[in-house]
Amino acid sequence: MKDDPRSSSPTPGLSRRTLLGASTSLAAAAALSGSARAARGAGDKPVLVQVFLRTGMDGLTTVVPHGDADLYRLRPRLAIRPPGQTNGALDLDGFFGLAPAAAPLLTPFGDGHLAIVHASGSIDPTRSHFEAFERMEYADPRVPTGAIHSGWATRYLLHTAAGAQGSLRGIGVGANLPLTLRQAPSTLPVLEFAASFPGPPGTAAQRQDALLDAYATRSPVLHATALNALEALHVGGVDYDAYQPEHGAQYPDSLFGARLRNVAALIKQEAGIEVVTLDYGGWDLHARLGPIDGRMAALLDDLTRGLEAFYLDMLGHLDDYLLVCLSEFGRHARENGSDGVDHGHGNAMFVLGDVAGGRVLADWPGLSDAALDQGDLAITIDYRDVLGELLVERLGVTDLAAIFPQHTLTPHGVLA
Amino acid sequence: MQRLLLSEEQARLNFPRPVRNPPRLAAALPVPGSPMSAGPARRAHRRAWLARLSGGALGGFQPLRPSVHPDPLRTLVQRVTQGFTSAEYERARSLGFEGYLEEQLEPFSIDDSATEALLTRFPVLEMSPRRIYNHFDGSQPGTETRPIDAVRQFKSALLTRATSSRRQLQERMCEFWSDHFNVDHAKDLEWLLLPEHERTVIRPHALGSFPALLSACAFSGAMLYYLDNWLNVRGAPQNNYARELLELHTLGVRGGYNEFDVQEVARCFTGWTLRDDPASAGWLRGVFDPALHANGPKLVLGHVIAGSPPSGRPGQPVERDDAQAVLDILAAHPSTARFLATKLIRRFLTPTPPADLVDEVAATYRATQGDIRAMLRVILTPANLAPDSGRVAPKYRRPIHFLTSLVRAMGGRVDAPTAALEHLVAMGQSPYDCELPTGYPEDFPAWGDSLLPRWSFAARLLDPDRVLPGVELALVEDVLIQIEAQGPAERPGLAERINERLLGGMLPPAEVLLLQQYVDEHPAPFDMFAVYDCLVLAASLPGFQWH
Repeated sequence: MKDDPRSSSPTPGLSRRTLLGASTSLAAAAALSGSARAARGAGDKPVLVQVFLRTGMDGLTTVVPHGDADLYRLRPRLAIRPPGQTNGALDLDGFFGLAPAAAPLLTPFGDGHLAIVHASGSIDPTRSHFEAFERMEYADPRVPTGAIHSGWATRYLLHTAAGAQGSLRGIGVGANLPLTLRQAPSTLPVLEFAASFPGPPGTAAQRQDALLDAYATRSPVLHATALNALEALHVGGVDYDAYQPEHGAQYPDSLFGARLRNVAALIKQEAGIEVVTLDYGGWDLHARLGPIDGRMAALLDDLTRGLEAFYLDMLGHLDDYLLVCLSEFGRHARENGSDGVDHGHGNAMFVLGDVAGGRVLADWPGLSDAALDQGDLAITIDYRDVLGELLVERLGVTDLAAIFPQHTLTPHGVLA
Repeated sequence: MQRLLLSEEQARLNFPRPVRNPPRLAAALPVPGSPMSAGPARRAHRRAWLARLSGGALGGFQPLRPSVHPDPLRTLVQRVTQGFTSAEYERARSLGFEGYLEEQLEPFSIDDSATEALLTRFPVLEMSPRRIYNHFDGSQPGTETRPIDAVRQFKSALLTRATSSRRQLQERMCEFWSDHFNVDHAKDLEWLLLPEHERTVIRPHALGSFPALLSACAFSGAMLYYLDNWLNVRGAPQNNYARELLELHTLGVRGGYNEFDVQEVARCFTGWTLRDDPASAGWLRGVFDPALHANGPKLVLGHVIAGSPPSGRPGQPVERDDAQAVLDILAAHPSTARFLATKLIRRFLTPTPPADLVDEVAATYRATQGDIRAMLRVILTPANLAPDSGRVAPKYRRPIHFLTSLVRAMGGRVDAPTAALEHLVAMGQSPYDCELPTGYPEDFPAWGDSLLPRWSFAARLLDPDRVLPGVELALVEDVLIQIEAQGPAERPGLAERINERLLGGMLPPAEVLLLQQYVDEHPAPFDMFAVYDCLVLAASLPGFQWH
């Protein structure tokens, strides 16, 4: 069963997709991608895609530090066993391994296009979801408390040149925008990727005029929303229903899969979108974690199959996006009595795209009692450094302080 | 501004309207001819607008808001109902400000039998978790007995109550507490537990005593399940509920507790679990299991809790066990008083609660041991609701309120499981679907980025050709009579009549003018389809998004 990545450890460089026999066309696509990048101007930035794993993804399950014996002391029932054992981790580098349910990540990891950053996160000490959302999504250094009320991606858009005037710059996939994009310019939430202007079609143009008139003159607070709503009618001019994923990519039959597929279609359209955010919830597993065959495994399976499909689909556009997966905090190092894990601190992040991948970047603090931060994995890599490296090196940001106030960038080699 | 509008192809199509057989149309009204075309002048006008608008207006929000009505009674009706209607306002006028408020503060003295009759269509409301599990098992195809039918029933019932009930403030408060003590029906078995939770925890206490509500909620199967306390056991406590109890239900995130308190509260709640005997009528109800409880003293917010064996027995009131001791400490804490005062003022008056009023309301909480009605009396005064009080500001309608307000404005009600629920998903506030224990957010910043789903709902609801399943609206002819719009000769002043008689006067003068212009320029024949076209626009305007 060599084509089942869950049954064996991967051979470096021999990933699932090559085993699937698609290598020729994929290699050609990758080559095209490189030349396309060279041909385009410096103004062409990759689209920044954020997948926010909301409510605390358990990074100690997803990316298992199986080389740290303390893990098995703290989580005798829940820790994924070391590689080679039943339901054991899929080894990545002799110290870290993936949960079996996250096996699809071996594809981009094996190709060197997925970087994993462990013991990372927001250094704010809060263990409250809602405070942690704010700290991470606002990137607010909290001096004074709660001084910032715009998202870091909002400030990224504000501090970089707009594309074509009036065009849409950011999209939050969902009914409303996440804090990451709070008050972002030319940005809107998109729940359905295809829609038409509601009401009697014969008078649609007149009603649109009237609404623009009303929202422009009477309601400046809603004016941008109204404009964006009209533009949202067919985001990027894409026919989403007809879109065919490439390179044999198979998105999972789930909400996340469908959304990620639409995002791929949108990026390929080169419609000028600069930031896309997706939310992925359900990780708050205080009870019954289910790392092998329960809830956590199901979430990881859907998430990572979606990411793998996106990666394959976008192989010809490898430098057109940078996808970051993060979560507001990790979970408590020690398992609780409900076969779950409470709120914690340090966590694992993923960066997918044209990065120096195939590696787990970590300054591993260890899981000994002395090394823990209030009982949780400590943070040795600030998530702002991971994002900051992308922003400065690839996304044209010259003044990172405008996006991450009171923060000095320490690159950790995500890109090189 | 490319692609801002429908493509030219779409604009030129001028879709022929379907053959009409309007189910709610009593008299045959003339079928319109070709709809008005997007002629060259129109398009030029539109382009001029877009050129103007694209000059940089896209970025950021500006702090301009609509205004509060000069009449405090009108604002009271706007704030304590799930949608202003002229009839409700006239009733409030006849009772007077205080009379109306006192009536609404005593919901169980209001005869609501008409609504209760409607609710018999939702048998799930009266069922125990056990009954729901047995009844909605999907074993009889063609009947409403799938699990999804149970969910549609209790979600729709929320809209039925909101649109029909004469106990409007009670409905507002149930919504408030359902946010405050959020449970998500989509979490595994939660859908079995939610109806009983509404029936026995939220509704009886919504206008009662907060400490009683807090306790009922803490030991409710629905909450024990949602925040996992049913699995919280001695030896290795799990703090999901403990943390949210402190952060979201009582003290607030900066209310003066630390991580140690969270752990100790979790220990106090160990052993509160669910009855897990599927054969018993009390299946999945809250129960205390002493064998799972961490005995011994605890220290919570500086109070020592002795940790004596609990006196509670299944089905009997709990008195002085550890969990109740924690709830007593929290309910009496000044931070709880301030946290609740702030949230209630935000819900009923203004997104920015003034400090002096927070102090007043918090003091009332402490003086009355958490009497919810007493707090509302301090908040909902004519002086506070006067536009120049500095204590009231326009509130952006959340999606459910927008939906129920429009249904009520059209003389309508939800009376069966309804397709309107899908619109609420699109608007971002599907009932009982909030995954986060915060409940749905309160104010404009969280909702102000989405309009299209609201416009879509207005267009769908007000489509005279197609009934929205599960929603009963006033007869078209009655609406036309109410706004005096039976013929083309009645175009003058129509916008103002729509605003005053249907929309509660929320449209400011500039929007009324604009709506009137749309009425005036609407091509002949100006029939009922044209009037409903104008109503779609009216409900989509900025003014109606606020209350």
